[in-house]
Amino acid sequence: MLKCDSVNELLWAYCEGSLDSETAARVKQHLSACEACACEHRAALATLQGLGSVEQIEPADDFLGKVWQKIDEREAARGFLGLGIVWAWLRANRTALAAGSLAFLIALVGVRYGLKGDGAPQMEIAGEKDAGAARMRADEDYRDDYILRDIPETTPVVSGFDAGGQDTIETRFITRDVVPPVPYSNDYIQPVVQPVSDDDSAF
Amino acid sequence: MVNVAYQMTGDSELAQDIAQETFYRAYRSAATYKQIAKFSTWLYTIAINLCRNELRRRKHKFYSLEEMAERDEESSVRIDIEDKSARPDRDVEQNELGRLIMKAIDTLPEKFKQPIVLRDVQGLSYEETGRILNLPEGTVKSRINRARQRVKEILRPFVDETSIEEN
Repeated sequence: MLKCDSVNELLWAYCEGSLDSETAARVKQHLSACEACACEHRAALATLQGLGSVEQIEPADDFLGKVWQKIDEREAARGFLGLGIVWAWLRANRTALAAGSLAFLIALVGVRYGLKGDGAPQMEIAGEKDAGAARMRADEDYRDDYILRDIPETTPVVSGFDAGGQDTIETRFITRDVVPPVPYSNDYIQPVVQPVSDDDSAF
Repeated sequence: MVNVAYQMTGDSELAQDIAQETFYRAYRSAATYKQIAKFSTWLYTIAINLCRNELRRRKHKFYSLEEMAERDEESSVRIDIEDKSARPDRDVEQNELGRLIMKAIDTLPEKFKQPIVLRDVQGLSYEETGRILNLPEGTVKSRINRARQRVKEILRPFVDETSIEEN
């Protein structure tokens, strides 16, 4: 006769009916004589029956429709796989992209309008700064060369001859107000400043 | 397929989604399907893998089977068996037993839950269960017996009462 330990090991197989007939008969014999094992047998049977009758649910009414809908949607999405990958990449890096775009925009505005002024951030491009400095230097040179040094504020100008053959000298005033801005043009000054001529043929 | 997902996750809505996803995956991979196993085995394998992934993803979110039973009872999703029986007292016992069993299954670790659901709840053979889980048949039997033992211990108080009444 089988011992209780052996029967317990064979109990599940016995409940399922998967033991050979001889072993099954020996287990059955033991169970009829051992109340403890018989109790285990009943518990095992109840467990299997309970597991076999666990609540089942039915597929939703539109289950197949949803399956086909999912197939259609996914297949359509696969058609735009390339765009999808790009879109996914953009979505994944949207924060960095937004920050980069903003920085680029600020830089662009700064370059265009030049953020200068007291207390304002200085955002000049080197070339532009150099160009401004060169322009300022040209202005200074112009004033030094043509205004302050060569063109006094009051200049005597020979405008003709009097009856005695002496030069008629007028004093015309050339002030800085009439000096044209850069670019400097000699033509602009010429009508005002007439050089003294020794040619008498004009008279 | 819906029921496997339901027993594994304890969430009827999630089970519907997983079942739909299972069929979609099968549709997508139909070309790679080889007839070394039954088509249903292949589907079960997909479903079990999806359940495993989903449970890991929703580890802190998914409802326990007991909560699911209460939730479904409130939303009238559960199967109503009362109309089919002439013994309401028996139905109450069955519902109680069902809850206990679901709770017992829910307490099982995943490696025990999978084989017992496939074998004892879905009624698949040991061989097919082993194929689905990619486990040797001996391992499947061992795990199922251990799982049954645990479920039996949980059900013991209830089973003793009903057994006495039946006897």
